[in-house]
Amino acid sequence: MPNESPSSSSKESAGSPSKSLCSSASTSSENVPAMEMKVMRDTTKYGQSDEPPLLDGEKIQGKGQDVTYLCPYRGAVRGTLTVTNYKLYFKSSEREPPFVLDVALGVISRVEKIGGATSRGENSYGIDILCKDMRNLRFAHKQENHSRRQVFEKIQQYAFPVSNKLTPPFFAYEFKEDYDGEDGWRVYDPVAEFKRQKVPNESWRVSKLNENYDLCDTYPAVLGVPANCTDDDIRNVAAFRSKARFPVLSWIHPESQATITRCSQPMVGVAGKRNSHDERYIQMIMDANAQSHKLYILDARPTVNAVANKAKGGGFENEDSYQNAELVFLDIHNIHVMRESLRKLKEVCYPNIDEAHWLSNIESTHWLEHIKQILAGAVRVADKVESNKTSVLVHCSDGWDRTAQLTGLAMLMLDPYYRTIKGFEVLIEKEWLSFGHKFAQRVGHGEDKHSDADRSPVFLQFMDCVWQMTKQFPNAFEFNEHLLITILDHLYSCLFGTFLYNCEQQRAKEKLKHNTMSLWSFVNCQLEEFTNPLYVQYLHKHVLFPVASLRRIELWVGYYCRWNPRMRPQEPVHLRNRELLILKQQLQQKVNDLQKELQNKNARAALDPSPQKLHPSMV
Amino acid sequence: SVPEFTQRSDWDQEIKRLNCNLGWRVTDVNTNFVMSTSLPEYFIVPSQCLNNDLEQVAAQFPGGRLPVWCFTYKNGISLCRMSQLQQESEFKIYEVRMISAIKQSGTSKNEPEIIDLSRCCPTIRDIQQSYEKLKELCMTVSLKEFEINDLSWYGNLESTQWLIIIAKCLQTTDEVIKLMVKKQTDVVLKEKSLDISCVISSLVQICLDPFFRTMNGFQQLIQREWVAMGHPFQLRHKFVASNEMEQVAPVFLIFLDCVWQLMNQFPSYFAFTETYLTTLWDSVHLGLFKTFLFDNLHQQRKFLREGRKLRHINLPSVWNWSTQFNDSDMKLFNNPLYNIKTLSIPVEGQNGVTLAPPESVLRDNIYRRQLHGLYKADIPLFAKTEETIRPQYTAAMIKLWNQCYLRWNVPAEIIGGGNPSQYLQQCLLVEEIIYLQDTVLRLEKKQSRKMRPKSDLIFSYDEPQSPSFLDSTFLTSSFPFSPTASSKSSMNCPPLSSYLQYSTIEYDYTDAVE
Repeated sequence: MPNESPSSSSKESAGSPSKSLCSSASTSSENVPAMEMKVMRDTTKYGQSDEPPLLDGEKIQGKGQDVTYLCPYRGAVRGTLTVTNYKLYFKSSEREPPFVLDVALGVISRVEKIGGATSRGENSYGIDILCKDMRNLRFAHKQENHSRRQVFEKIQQYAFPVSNKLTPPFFAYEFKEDYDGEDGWRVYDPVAEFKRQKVPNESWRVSKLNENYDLCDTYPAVLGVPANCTDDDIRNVAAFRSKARFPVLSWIHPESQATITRCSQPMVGVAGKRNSHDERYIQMIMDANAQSHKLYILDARPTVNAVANKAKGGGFENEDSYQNAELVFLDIHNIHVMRESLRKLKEVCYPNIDEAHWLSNIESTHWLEHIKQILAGAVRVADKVESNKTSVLVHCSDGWDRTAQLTGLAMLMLDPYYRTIKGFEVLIEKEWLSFGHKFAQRVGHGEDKHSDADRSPVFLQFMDCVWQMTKQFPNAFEFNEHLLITILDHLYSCLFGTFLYNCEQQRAKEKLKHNTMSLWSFVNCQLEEFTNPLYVQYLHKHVLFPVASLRRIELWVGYYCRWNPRMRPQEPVHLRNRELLILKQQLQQKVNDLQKELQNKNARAALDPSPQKLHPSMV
Repeated sequence: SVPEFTQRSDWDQEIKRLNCNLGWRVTDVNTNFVMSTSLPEYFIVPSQCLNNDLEQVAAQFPGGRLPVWCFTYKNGISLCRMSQLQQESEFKIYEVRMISAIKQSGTSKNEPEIIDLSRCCPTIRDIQQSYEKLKELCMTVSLKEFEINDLSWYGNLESTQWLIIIAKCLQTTDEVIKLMVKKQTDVVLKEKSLDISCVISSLVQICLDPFFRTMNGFQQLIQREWVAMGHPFQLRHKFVASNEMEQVAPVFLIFLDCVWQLMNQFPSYFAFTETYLTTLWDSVHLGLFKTFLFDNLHQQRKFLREGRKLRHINLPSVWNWSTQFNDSDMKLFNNPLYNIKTLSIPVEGQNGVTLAPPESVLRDNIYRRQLHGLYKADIPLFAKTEETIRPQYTAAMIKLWNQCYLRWNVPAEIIGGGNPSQYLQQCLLVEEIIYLQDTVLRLEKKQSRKMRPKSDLIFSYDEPQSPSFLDSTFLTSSFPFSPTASSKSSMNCPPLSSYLQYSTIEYDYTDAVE
C-alpha cells in the first residue's frame, strides 16, 4: 500500500493487493510486493493515463489537476491527485518514469488545509496529511478556483468513514478478491488450536460458557479453564476481575504442563477486598501443574501504577491471600506513555535525521527502552515456564494491551509453531484479536479524532519486539520482515476485515467473515513472498531467549525510516539469501526430473529386450 | 604468497596490473633508505620525474615524503599521497611541480585536487580518546554494571564518537571516489603523519577495484598501503613500553571497522568474512608478526639484520595464516555469498537452470523501484558484479561492529542466534547447491562422481545430519570466539532474573492511573 516510488513507465504500479499479484502465470511484468503495488495486466491501458488502477469495488471520488507533491526527499513534483473511496493516488506529469504515490486512506490520522486564498509564496496553499505510518504528506494546489476544495473534502470524507457515518463504514465491505480460493478466516479455529496443545486433558477443559459473550463481552466464545472448576466458579471469579476478564488458558507446556494464563486486574480496591472464589481458582491453575507448587503472577505494570489503580477499585493480588503465589511487577508503561514515545520517535526519524545526534535522539524517545522492557518481561514469562516449570499468570489493568504483548511474545519464544507463518497468524488471531485487544480504538479506524487518548501503538510495539527476535535469531522464523511490514500496513489500511472492531463479539455481529476479506487470504496465497530463506525448522525446535539488552536491540530502520531513500540497504542480504534458496530449489527440481527420466528409461529398457540395453551395468 | 613490496618487481607488477605503467614508474631513489626512512626502498612516481628531481623535492617534505602514487582507476585517474610541506609558502614551488607531473601522468584535463585530511578527518587524539571510551563502554565488569549502563547504551555509544569517526572516514572516501570517477580528477591526500591517509587510500582502492575485495588483494593492499608505506604500527600500539602514550591510537582498527561497514552494506562483494577481520585485528596484538611490529620497512630491515647477529630471528608474516590456524579453521574466513560466485554454477540459459527466478525473488523490486539508482541490488547475485561500490555513511546505517567489540560480553551473547546463524545457513545453502549441481552433471553423465567441487566453507553437508553445529545452542553471536559454546548444559538460560532488577524508566508517576 503506502508506497512512494518512481515506478517504471512500462509497468505501472498501483496500491493494492489484487489477485493478479498472486497468480504468476498471466502477466509478463514483474511481480510486485503485496502492499505496495500490483501488476497491471494491461500496461498500455494505464501507462499513459493519470487514472489510478482500481480495486474491485473502488470508485474515483475526486481529482485535482496540477497539484504539487512536496516530497521531502525529491523536492516538488507536479502531477494529478486522485481520491477514491480507498486511496489517494498521485501521479507525476513531468517525470519519466512517472513518480507515483499510492496511499490507503486508512493510514491518515489527520488532514488539514494550509494557507488561504491570499497566502503568498510558492506552494503555500494546499493540504497537509499526517499519517499513522511514520510520515506526512504535503500537497500544494493552485490558488485559483478553490482547486483544493474537492480533493480535501473527499479525503476528509473517505479517510474518516466512521466519523462521517458512511455506509458501509469501511472499504473492506466493498472489496472483493479471489485469492486462489484461500480463506484466511479459517486459519484460526480455537478448538483446533486447543487440540494442538492437547487440551482438553486431565487438568484443562474447553468451556463454551461465553458462547454468547454474555459472561465477558471482550473475551472469545471458546475458553480454556481448569478442568475442575464449575461454571458457577467461573461466574464468581469473573465478578471479581475487571471487565469480567477472569484467568483463562493461553498456552500449556507440552511436557511439564506449566501454563501461561491471562486475565485482568482483581477488583481489590482501596479496602483490599478478598475473594475466596478467585483465590481458589488461582489455586486450581497452580494445581493443574504437578511439577511446581508455586505460581508466578506477573503484573505488567509499574508498581506505582498498580497501586494507583486501587483508587479506581482495581489493584493487584495480595500475596498473603494467594498462597504460594509470587507477584512480580514488570514495569511496562501504559498506553499514554507509549503513544508519546512514538510521537517523539516520528519527530526524530521523519523526514530527516540529525546525523550528529542520531543515537542520543533515539535514546531520548525511550522507544527502545520500552521495547526492551516488554521483551524482558516476556523473557521472564518464558523463563519461568521453561526453566522453572512453573505456571505464570499474566495481567495488567484490563488485560488487553500489555498482557497480549507479553503472552504473545512468550508463546513465540516457547513454541516453534508460532514461528511459522500460519502459526504466527494463529498467534495474532488468538492472543490479540480473540482476546479483545481494542484494535479499532487503539488505531482509530475510520475516525477523525486524531488526538484521542485511547489511541496507542501497542500492537506496533509487539511487532517491533517480534522483529527484534527475528534479528537476533535469523534462521528461527519462517516469515520475513516483509510479512511484519505488510501486517502493519493493513493494520491501518482497512482493506481487510481482520483488524476491524474491538473484539470477537463485535466482529461476529458485523459478520466480518462473510462481509470482508481476511488479510491471511492475501498472505497465504503467496507464502513465498513472506518466507525467510534462512529458516530451518530443525534447528529451533525449542525455546528462544532473546537478549533483552539495548546492546542487542536496535531501531527498526526498515520500518520507521522506510520513506527515506537514504536509509535503504544497498545490497539487502535477504535478497541474496533468497536467490540462494531459489537456485537450490531449481537445481533440486532438475535433479528430480533427471532421476525420473532415468527411471523411465531404465523401465523401458527392462521392457524392451534389445540386446545392448540388457547390459547389467545399465540396470 | 603476499608480495611484501620490498622488491622493485612487486611494484612493477602492480602498475602493470592497473595498466598505468606508461605514466608512472618505479623509482629506486630510496635504495638503502637514503632519502627517506619512512618510505619503502621502491615506490611509484610520475614517469617524467627523474631521481634528481625527486631528491630535490623530497628535501622539502618532512621525512622525505614527497607525493607518491597509490592507485590508478580504470579511467586513468590516479590517487596519490604526500606529507605536508615544511614551510608551505616558501617551498610551494616543489609541490606545484610534483602536482603538475601527476596531472601529466594521467588522462585528466582537470587540476589534481589536494585533500588536506587534517581538515575533514579525525586526529590521532580523537581516535585515541574515542577508543578509550569505546573500550570502557564495551568491557563490563559486572552484571549489575551491565544492566545499569544498558538504558544509556545508545547515548553512551554516541558520546564515544566512534561511529561518527567511522562515518567521517567513509564520507571522505566517498568524496575522493566522486572526484576520481565522476569529476575525472586526480586526488592527492595530504597528511603530516601516515595514518588517516592509509585509511582513506585503502578504502578508496577497495571501493574502486574488486581485486582488493579478494583475500589476496586485501592482504596485498595492507602490505603496500600500511606496512610498506610506513604506518607506524609500533608507535600506535605501543608494543614496547614507552612513555609516548599520546601516540597510541588504533588507526588500523578504524580501517578494519570501515571495511566491516562496507561488508555489511555489500554482503556478497567481499571474499572474506567479519571473522577474518576480527582475527586480523587480534593478530596485530600478538607481537609475533613482522607485518605489525615496526613503524616502517627501514626499522624492520634494521631489526631483522641486527637481530640476526645476536641469534637466529625469523619473524613470520601475518599472511602466513597456517602458522596460526589449521586448514579447517581458515575456512571461517570464506564468505559463502562470494564463494558461490566464483564456482562454475551454470548461469541463466546454460544447462537449463534459470537464474532469473521468476516471481518470488524479484518481489524485492519494490525496494529497487523506490531506490531507483541508489540501489545496487539491481544486479543479481550471479550477474557480473559491479566493480565499484560507494559507501553509505548516514548515521542510521553505521552500526557497531558487535562481533569485534561485544564478543566477550557474556550477558550480551545471543545463544543460538546472531550473525553466525545466518552465516551457517548461507554456508549450508551454498553447499547444497554445489551438491545438487554435481548431481545434475552426474545424472547427465557429464562428469564423474568424484569431482565434486569444494566450497571451502566451514559448514558442509559431507558430515552426518546431526553434527554438533546443528544443535541450536552450539552457535552463539560470539562464534567462533564464543567463550561459552562448549559447555552447553546451562547455556539455555541467560541471566534472566537480573534483567528487571536494575531497569526502570524515568517517568513522572503523577498521572499513573489508567
